[in-house]
Amino acid sequence: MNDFRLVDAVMPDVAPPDPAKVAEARARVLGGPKPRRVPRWTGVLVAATATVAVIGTVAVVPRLGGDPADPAGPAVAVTRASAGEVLAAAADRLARRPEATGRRYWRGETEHSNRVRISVAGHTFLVEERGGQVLWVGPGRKRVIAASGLGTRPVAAADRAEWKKAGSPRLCGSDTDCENDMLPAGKTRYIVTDAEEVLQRATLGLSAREIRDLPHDPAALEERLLSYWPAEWKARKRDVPAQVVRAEAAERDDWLWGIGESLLLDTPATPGTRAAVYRMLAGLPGARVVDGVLDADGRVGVAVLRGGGPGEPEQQLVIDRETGDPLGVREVPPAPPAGRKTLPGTGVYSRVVKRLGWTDDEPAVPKGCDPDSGKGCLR
Amino acid sequence: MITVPDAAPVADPERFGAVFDAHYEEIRRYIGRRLDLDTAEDLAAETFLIAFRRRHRFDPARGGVRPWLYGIATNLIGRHRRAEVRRYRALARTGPPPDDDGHDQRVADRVTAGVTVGRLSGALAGLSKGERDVVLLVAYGGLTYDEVAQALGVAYGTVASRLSRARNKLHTSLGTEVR
Repeated sequence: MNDFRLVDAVMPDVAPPDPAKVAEARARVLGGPKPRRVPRWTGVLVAATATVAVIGTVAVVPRLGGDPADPAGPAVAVTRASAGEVLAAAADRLARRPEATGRRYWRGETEHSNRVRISVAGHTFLVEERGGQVLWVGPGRKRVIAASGLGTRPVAAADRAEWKKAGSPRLCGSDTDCENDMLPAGKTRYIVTDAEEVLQRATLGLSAREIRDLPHDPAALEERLLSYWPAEWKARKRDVPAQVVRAEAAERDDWLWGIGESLLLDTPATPGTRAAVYRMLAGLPGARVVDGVLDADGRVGVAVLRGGGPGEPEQQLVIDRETGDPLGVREVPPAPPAGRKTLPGTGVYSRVVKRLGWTDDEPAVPKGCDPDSGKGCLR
Repeated sequence: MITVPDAAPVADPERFGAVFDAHYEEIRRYIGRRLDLDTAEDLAAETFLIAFRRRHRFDPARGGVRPWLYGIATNLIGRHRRAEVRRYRALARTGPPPDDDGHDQRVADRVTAGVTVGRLSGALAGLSKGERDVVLLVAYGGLTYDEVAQALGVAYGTVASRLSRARNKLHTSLGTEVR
């Protein structure tokens, strides 16, 4: 579980407790027996136990079944070439593609959606909240994000019927009670920064130039990215409660996956580096390549899948079989444990690519949306 | 140990001390990161008092000790909801307060990669209470989806929905993927 690590990494921590105050609290709760010292090796033992537990539960659970209600999508085609060969050919074509360089901005247009379960007046239904994002970055350029609310609607006919029975409650862009809606339908939020970093993580920041210079060979790319890992790992060991931080390899692979996804969707990485990202991700332990997977727009591609075992989300990256361009990514939350039910598709997050590439256009930023205003502005 | 495998240590007042020793520090830290430290000392002790009083009702079949304790703590934090949001708004305006506990390096390290304490605090203030509970149980407590559902007594799908939604909102207000 590494979601929201950024929150843990950035927000201030608290100082360790004063033993006298702990003893006082203990006496208040238990009526005064002397505190028993927690042995120093407790954390080590727990970490070891956790490792065993993780190893014991690693199981590949194919999520791409034929359930039509499952937005992970059924596999639709059986091709003669193996999925690995399809991916390799697509990556080769991408790596060879010439790039229209010398343009001013790299522009990435994507759409994202969340499937969210809502309960009102005893009626439960699934809605899909949709948003669009246009990202502008470039060497020495301002970074501009224009995020638009594309509206929220019940997912299927059955969901719509339940929503009506609940009295057709107002559905807003990104909020439970509509009080803090960050993405109202029809509005666009502009975020402009002067930050050099195009790729930002808790302990990593890469400029557009550094990203353009990343290697085209998957092993060399992985080695370069992993040169930033020790700082990240040090921060995790320091900040994350010892009982939940997993073995380093598992943490590192998750981190690499996230960086790879961002390089593809949110940075001006070269075609050669993009092809190397595919191969690097497909080579991660537990990753599978599957052909004939649908993205959230219904386009068919070859996919790299990862995770999906008990209690862990499945990550999906769908790639165009012909051009080698990324089509989209999807995160499917872990299936509920036996005995717990949920509407299929709840919590699924998808992002699809509309258009990526270099342009001579300029981002149109309304007046008053200053760089680093901190809040962005809604128009 | 961190996980208590059966109900005996919880129900047995003699052995409840082990539960306190194993979890007090992390519960205090969780509360302290959401409210101020003085309140956290009080509420952490109160969490264990409530847990001790209700120890006979603890049912290991419904989940572990950690989600149970985090759930009690989260309910207590809920009574201070306005103070929590005020704190985020203050951090959003001024950034982290000067650290007088000799931890300035830790605070300085945290202002990295373009996402500052101030910007993130502003974004956290923009979440609904339910969304914030779920995000911070995952981020600070390291709870799994199922443990969060146990802690808050909500459906599994509600947890998945709130996390999905919160991530979208944080992404929108920070302009960067929150992982």
